[in-house]
Amino acid sequence: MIRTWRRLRFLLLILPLIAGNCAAETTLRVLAWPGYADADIVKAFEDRTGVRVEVSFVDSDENLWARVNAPEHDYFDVFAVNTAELQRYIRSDLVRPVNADAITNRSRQLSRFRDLQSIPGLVHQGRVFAIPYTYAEMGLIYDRRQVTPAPDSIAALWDPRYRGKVIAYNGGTHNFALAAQLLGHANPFNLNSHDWQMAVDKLIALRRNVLAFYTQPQESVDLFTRHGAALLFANFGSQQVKLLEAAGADVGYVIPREGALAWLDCWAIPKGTRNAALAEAWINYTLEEQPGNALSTRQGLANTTQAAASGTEGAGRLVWLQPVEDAERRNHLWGRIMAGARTDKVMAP
Amino acid sequence: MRFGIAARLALLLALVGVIASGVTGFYVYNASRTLLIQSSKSELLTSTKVLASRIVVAREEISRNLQLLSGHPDALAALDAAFDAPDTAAENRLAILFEQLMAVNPNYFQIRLIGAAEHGLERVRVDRGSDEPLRVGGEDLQEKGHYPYVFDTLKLAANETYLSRFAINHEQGAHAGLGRPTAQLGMPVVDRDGHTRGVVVINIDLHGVFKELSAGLPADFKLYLANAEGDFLVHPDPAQSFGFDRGRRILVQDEFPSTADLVLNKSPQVLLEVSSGSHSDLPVVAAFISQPVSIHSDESRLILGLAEPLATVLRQADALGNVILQIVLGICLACVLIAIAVARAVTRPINSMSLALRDFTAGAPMSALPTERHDEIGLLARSFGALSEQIRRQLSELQQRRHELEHLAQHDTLTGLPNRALFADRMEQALASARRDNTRLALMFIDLDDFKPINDERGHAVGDLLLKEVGTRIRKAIRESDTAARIGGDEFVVLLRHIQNKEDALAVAEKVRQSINQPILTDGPPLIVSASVGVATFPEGGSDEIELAKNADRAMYRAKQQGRNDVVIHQPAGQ
Repeated sequence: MIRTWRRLRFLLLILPLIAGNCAAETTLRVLAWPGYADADIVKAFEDRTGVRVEVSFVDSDENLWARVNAPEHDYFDVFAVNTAELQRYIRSDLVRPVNADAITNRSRQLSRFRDLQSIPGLVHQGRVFAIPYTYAEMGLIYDRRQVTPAPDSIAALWDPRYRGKVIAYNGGTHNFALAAQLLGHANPFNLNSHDWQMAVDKLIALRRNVLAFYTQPQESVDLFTRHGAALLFANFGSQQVKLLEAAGADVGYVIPREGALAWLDCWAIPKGTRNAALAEAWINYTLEEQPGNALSTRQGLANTTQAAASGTEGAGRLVWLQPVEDAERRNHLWGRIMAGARTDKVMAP
Repeated sequence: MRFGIAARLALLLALVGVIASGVTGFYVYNASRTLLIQSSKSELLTSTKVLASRIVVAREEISRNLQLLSGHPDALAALDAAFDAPDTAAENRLAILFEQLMAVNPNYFQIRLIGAAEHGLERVRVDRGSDEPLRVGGEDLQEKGHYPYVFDTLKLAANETYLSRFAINHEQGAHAGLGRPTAQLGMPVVDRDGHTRGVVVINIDLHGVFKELSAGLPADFKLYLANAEGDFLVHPDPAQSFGFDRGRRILVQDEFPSTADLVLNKSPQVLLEVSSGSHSDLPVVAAFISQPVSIHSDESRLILGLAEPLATVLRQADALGNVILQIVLGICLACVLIAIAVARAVTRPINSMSLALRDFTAGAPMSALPTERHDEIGLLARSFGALSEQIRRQLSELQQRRHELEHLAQHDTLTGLPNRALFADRMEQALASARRDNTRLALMFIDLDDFKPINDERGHAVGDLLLKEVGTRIRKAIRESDTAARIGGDEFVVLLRHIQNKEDALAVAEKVRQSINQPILTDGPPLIVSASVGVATFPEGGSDEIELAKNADRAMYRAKQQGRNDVVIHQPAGQ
């Protein structure tokens, strides 16, 4: 009964847009990341609305940027983008504001996602440009047998007790943010000129404390299990927890008190959309239970309507990724640190 | 009619021959093509295995070099000295050794002595510069403790070799090796007490190594190398290797689907033929093997493969195909010739029989029948010969009967002279020709005098004998070209053609009268009969046969009246 009513309400919502469109079959063109719009999820939307949905997938931020910038024939009605990347789309005037009131399922979202103002980059001059959809935070994974009590700070990565038993991520942008967090910076994405040296020192100290740095989730799991590691900086979040549990490791997962770096993917509507109302209907639909479950059970990604399965919700805050002050410099310095250069050599011109 | 039995038979035989040789040729070609592909696949497999063993040999050579370096006293001496009070002499000697090794091994990117202390600080390091080995020292030495080639090698026993994953080297400051496909091989440096003090690491240039290893292979052989997960490490198209390093995995099982069995470790080798995807233009045959890595390594297995263009393999098949085609064409030609010969051999006797039959129906003497043959055709010819002989005999009998009947119909049975009908016919013809040629003829009526008493007294047999003898005498008295006929009991007529005048007719009539008047011998006393003869001539004595007959008859009566045994010629009125 409730189901029927909901469907009816949905139909009422989108009816004007269908009627308003031409007599030909209405098509919604979605540009998303793998796992964001699985065939069965799309089918349910099509069955309900009678529109045709064409989903294209991207595999990198660059690819996404290129396609949204593409000429008129390759238009999209709605696309998924993380909050950090979203900023340049707004700057380049490639996206249009979203009518947040039309997304009625926002009421189902957790409060931290409902309050759009609290998430940096979503609201500009009072206008909402994106609706949160899925996220992954970079918490700490620890071996329950070796690490007691559970770590509550990223400082654990530098803890000499775990020397040679720490596995960290091989990436400059995130690692400098991590160092900035350790140094107590409010905004880890914006280092001041005098912060660099300290951050480099911290990262060299991290290098000297770790067993190894990884780039791929599976690689981290192999290192962790083969070498009896104690701590793992989870750049891929709960996905790595799942993999480790599958490998038989007895691990815990925490959001440190400094806050976990997190990426947040949102739905945004490009300027070139041909059917903004239908795009909003799609966004509204993806906030329902089924699409949300698909994200968490199939992809190991968190959805915005349910508290994270690992019970980390509320333990610490999430620090949404933002564009950094100088990504090139971070990566350049990190390259040197990763190669094993000593302090003077890292900071050398 | 153009397509007789011969043509059809020849066509059928030729067709059977051509199809048989064609089908045989096709199957032979297919079978040998399959065999060729099979054999080149197993050749490829052998080459791949040889290559794999060459890799092992190459690795063992590096292991021996590592053994030489890690066991070198200077290595231990250099590591024994503290970082801030180095044993420069030992380090220098080691560096020279490293440089010499780099010089003779162009595939070495780097040789390093790395201490276990100071976070894996490099102690002696020689890189490959743009040309020459390049000693790296002082502040440029780096801490490498967080790399598996250090922390994993440190765990090994003396003389054990560690092999890193095959990857692109991103370690900044690696000189020539930076950004290049590299593998690190390491060996621990162990002191007398069994403590591991450091490691010796050789970075090798994977491109160089595999280029060298595949140097002896034919030019169109392509070498592939993938790790246990299937990521390409060596690929003929360099852009396809180390895809994972650029965030896009490029897998052997995607390009060669059947290698999935190797990746899943289900089988140690696969032989395959690919003509889809990137190989749709140039199909290849390939052999892939899964080679376990026997030393301590993060690479559990390597997947090694060799591919060869299918076209190269099939070039031999094509040559074979050409030979087969020539043979098939030869056989086809032979088939056609044999078919024609057989068809002719079979149809020639049939033709000669039909010729004979044609001659036979045309009445001409029959051409030779193939009766001498001992086969069905000979039997048919003999039967046909017998049949035609029988028909010929019966026909000639029939002809004879017909002649007899004709004779009977036109002749008097007693005397053998033409009867009235035949005479009338001849008379008509003679008159027609006389009129046309303006010649004369004469009609003679002969009546025997007193025949009836003889017939009554001496009997019919004698009468008949008499009539017969008279007929014979009349015939003898006239020319061949004249005609005598018996037209009644004792009445005879004679037609004389081409006479000059009536005197001629009279002379013949007189001759006839005299010859009849001669005694006739019988069983009894000889008989003497006389005849009265009337003659009418054309055109004087009548212009048609009726008038002529009437006048001849009148003349004959006048002869009777004048005393019998006389000849009277019809005299037209007024003469």
